[in-house]
Amino acid sequence: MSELLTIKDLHVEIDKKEILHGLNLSIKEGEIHVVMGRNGSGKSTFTNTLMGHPAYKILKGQINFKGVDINNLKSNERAKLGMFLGFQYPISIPGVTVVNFIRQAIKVLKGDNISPKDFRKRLYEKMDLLEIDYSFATRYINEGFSGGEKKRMEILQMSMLEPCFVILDEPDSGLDIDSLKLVAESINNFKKQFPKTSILLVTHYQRILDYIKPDKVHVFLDGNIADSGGPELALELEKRGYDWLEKAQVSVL
Amino acid sequence: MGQKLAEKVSEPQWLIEKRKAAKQAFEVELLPDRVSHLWKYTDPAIFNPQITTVESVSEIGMWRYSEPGVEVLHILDGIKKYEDLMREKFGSLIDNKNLKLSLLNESTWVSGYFVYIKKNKQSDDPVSLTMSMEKLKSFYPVRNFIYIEDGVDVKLVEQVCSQDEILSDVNIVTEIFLGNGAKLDFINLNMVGNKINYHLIQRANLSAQAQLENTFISLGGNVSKIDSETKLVGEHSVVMVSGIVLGNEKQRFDHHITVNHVASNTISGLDFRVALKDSANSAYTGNLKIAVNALGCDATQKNRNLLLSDNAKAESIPELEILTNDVKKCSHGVTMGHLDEEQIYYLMSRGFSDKEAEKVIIEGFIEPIILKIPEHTLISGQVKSRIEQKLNKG
Ligand SMILES: Nc1ncnc2c1ncn2[C@@H]1O[C@H](COP(=O)(O)OP(=O)(O)OP(=O)(O)O)[C@@H](O)[C@H]1O
Ligand SMILES: [Mg+2]
Repeated sequence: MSELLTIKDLHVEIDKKEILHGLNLSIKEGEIHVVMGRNGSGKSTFTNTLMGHPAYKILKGQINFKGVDINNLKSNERAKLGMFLGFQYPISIPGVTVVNFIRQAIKVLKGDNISPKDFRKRLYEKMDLLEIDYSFATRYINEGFSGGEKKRMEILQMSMLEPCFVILDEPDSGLDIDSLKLVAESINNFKKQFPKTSILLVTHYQRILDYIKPDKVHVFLDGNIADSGGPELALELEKRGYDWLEKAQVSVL
Repeated sequence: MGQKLAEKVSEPQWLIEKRKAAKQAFEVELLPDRVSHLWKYTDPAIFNPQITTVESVSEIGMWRYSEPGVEVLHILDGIKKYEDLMREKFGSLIDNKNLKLSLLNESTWVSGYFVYIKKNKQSDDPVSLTMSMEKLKSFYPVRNFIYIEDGVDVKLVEQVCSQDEILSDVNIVTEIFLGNGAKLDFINLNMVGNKINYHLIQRANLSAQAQLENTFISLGGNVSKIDSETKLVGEHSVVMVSGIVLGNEKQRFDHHITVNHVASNTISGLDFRVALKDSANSAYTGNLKIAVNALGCDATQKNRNLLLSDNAKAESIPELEILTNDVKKCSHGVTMGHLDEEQIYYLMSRGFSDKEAEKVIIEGFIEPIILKIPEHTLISGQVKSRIEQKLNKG
């Protein structure tokens, strides 16, 4: 399979503070990559940089997506190339209903003008999978949603917008056991429907990996990838924590 | 185009006297000074028109009101048909607060609506009152009288509109009476062109257990001023005022909204939202009065302002005159802010351009108020396209 995303020597700062220090990563079409790492190690800085958050400044390095250098592309241009970020902390937009939000997003992304009826049918199917009550369709997006409801809403958007590269920043945080299963199954379903889609999944918990099988696992440490491996690396982290990696790094230096 | 409302018919003697007195008083009355809050933000001289050609508003597509219990007439026809009622009530809600401009109206009005909703009303359809200005350069003094009998429930949509190029000025005075337990859902839509100076005095009087939903949707005008006061005269009466201002270019808006708790156990709520583009300007005054004998009242106020450009300017002025200690609840909140960068980023990550994201956020901001307009009607379509046009411009 061909290269979808290639990142070379990525340095990123926010508010004049460098957070990512020369990160390298490449993801092929159809692959699932998992990112783990301590709080504050730079995972969300990375996901937001990928999505083009204007506050994160690329000091050095390159992000190449589908053969295009996207360093200077705006978030919406990246979305139009097929990128999607499921937020760690989804934002509410008062007055904008879920159904309008998703419908308009499909329209701006794909120029699609599917009939309101077909759209609703598709939306309800996906809501069924995530066991989201239909009443959420006419609620204002993320306004007053519980933590878990917000996370499921992100997955719903993913399955409606059909991106070819999905970044999920802690889709499993704050979910109860049943919700976790629903979210994982929705991701798997989506992946089955679109096998060429690549996924970058940020998580703190090995548990979601009981459902979703990664090709690679990366560990973030102080704004860089300290180690990469297969699914077994996640299990090891679960057992041993992050300290040993830090020590291993020091001994390499 | 629109068809004129009934031509001026001969007026009863008492009305002629009233007008004469008003005219004399108008001539000696000075323009209000700018010290009081009512006129701090707008020069009243703007509304003292130099134009002397007085015109009647036209009705466009006005519905036929042959239904039982719904009487909608030209104001003069109403005065003649219900002379006893009108001799007693007409003008009785007009106070001295905005005297120069109410006298101007009283002495010159030539058109407007008389609305009388009776107990035997059957249809639940909203009643539409359209006031259209078609003369390029005239003065439109308009007088409305709305009377809702005890226990009746009705929805009225008052729409003031004109083409874009019209330079005329308008001065509207509307009196609203709600009987015991009457319920009125009232919408005032300012959809005039951006060259018109728009002045509205609205007075509402609520009897016991009456409920008023009073909604202002202010989109049009060069300078638009609304001076509204709702008096909660009967116990357990309730008023909910909501409003939106959507200003662009050089538009100026000045809304002075007063809620006056005269009786005990009355409830009021205010939700006023202002969004300003370009160098638009808004002053919003929320004036809350609770009389010394009005016990156990509940009053909440919220004013939100969204500034969409560096040149847009909004002021929010709370005026609290609470003369009793026995208040159940009284709260007041103001927010003033620019677009939220994180919201824009969230929308852009879903494919919206920055312009489109801005539009989605503003539409969301005004949505809860827009929802009050009856859906799938001619009016709701017109409001939506006017908003669209304002948001897409510039
Ligand atoms: N505006 C800012 N100014 C300075 N430092 C910042 C700013 N925003 C983020 N940081 C810092 O950048 C570091 C990385 O934060 P980031 O959100 O990427 O961590 P994370 O790995 O996603 O953590 P978590 O697992 O808690 O979500 C943190 O130390 C954080 O405090
Ligand atoms: Mg994070």
